[in-house]
Amino acid sequence: MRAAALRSARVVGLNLMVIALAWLVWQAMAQAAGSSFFPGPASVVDAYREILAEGDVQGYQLWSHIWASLVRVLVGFAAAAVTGVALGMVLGLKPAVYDATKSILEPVRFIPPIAWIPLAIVLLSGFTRYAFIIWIGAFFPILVATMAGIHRVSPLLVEVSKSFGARRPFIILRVVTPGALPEIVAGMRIGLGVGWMCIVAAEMIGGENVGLGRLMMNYADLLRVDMVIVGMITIGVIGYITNEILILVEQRLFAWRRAIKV
Amino acid sequence: MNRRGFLLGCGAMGATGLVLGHPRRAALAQGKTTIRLGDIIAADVVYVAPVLAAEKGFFAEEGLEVKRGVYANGPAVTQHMASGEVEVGMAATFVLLTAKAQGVDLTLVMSLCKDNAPLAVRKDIKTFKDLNGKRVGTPGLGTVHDINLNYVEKTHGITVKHVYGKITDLLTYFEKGEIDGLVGWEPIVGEAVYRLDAHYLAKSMRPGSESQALAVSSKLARENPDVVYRLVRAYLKGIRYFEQHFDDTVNIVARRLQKPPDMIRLAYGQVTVTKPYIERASTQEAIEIAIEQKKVRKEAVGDPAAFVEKAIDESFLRKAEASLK
Repeated sequence: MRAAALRSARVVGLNLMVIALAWLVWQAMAQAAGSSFFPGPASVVDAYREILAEGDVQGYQLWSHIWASLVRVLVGFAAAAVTGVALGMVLGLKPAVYDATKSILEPVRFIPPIAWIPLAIVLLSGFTRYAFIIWIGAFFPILVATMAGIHRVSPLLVEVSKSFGARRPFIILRVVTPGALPEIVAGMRIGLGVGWMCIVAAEMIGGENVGLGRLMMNYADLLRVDMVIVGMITIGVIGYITNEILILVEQRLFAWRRAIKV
Repeated sequence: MNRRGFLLGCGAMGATGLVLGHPRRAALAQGKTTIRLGDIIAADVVYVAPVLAAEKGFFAEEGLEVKRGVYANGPAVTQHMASGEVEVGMAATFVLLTAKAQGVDLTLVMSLCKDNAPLAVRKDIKTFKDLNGKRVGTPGLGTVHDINLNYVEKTHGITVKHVYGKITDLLTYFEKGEIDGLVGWEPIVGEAVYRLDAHYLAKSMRPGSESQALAVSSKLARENPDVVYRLVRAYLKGIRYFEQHFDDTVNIVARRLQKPPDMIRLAYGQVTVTKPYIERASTQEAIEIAIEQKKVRKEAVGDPAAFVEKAIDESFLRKAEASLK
């Protein structure tokens, strides 16, 4: 117990040192650049203070932007998780279905989510437009991870279950799914990251006035780079927090699977 | 030809290709000066002077080769001027001045367009009061069109919801009913009237006001004043061509934008592109509104009148005008 606490303290300490180092490097680079378009960390802290105290140039609070983006990401991601896992299971368990559909699935997988934006503008409106872009960004990493996870389940486990008289639904639910879950969660972590990349790009396109992407675009229009960096850091921190939550879930669910140390 | 001769020939051709393949080197080989120009998407109506200068060979006459980069809006042009990617930019006068206030080293050398502040809305919106509480599309928070909408809100005592988007997407939002009206540059707003059953609630939200300008990096103006002079001359020739050949101009712009000539004619009813001197009072007023709206920091501007005057250098324009008389 004490060893775990010491390890946590060491991790926190090391990360604080890295943050301090990054701060110093950033400050030095900003001073060397000597440009108002490359503000140092102190200017960005001032910008944070400004937006937290007064809101943005339209009067929206930073929290409104965070909330708008977060809801869009979570809804799009949840839809991607449900559909990606379900379809991944089907395709993983039925290779014949994958073989019959891969001429559509694989090319579509390589279309960047941002390339769907013009179509989304024409075909969808408001919230659904953003949710769709995030869904399409997060869907394929989850789908591929689910299929890969299923393929990695040991055939021996399935055979043993069968020899004990287990039926197909039982094997899928109790043997295959738990075996594939680590890969599925890894796919979800990748999908969540892609979802954040997509929301920023989609919000920059416009149509709604709140959202971290829109906040950054508005201030980019005004050449307020300090505020643009505020948006960037906020997205990074929220992405980090949501990723940590997924890791916690993963650790709880798969306590049996420890990281390998050599 | 022996093998060695063949290889030498290939090498010489390759080297020539490398030298001439690069646009700047190719221009130098022809004795031309290459200029990288920041332009705005679908703005050929308001930026007709450089369109005609390119189409009719006025840039070439002045020994210039203009490489045009097209951006989403004026602020995007100034961002690329800040990075040094383009040394000449066309954008709203107010946007160029905002960039100057933020530290972009640029000088405004001539006006390209006045008015250009139309507001088109759904047919059932008949007065400014009807517009209260409605959603109006604008091409960006940092654009002059957004400032003009702020001006309308202020002068008519109304509040509208500004919906930001790429100008060409605003038409889609309007067609789908996501917005009730739009502001922007012509001919996009004209297209809403021509094709989407909108009507002009105001042909100009600030009649006679300054709209678009040509800016050069101050370094270019200092180190290569002759290039700036020749550039302004080519633009002036474009304006003269417009005045003398309106129908041909309409056809050229219509062809470039792939729009019906009637729509382009309609658009030219809302803009003034033949007055190259920058109108100071409305420019100063736009800066003052921007300060009020916290879009520009007052401390970065100081006295608006002095700031505007300091940012403009029309000596190239006066010299070019005199040379063309």
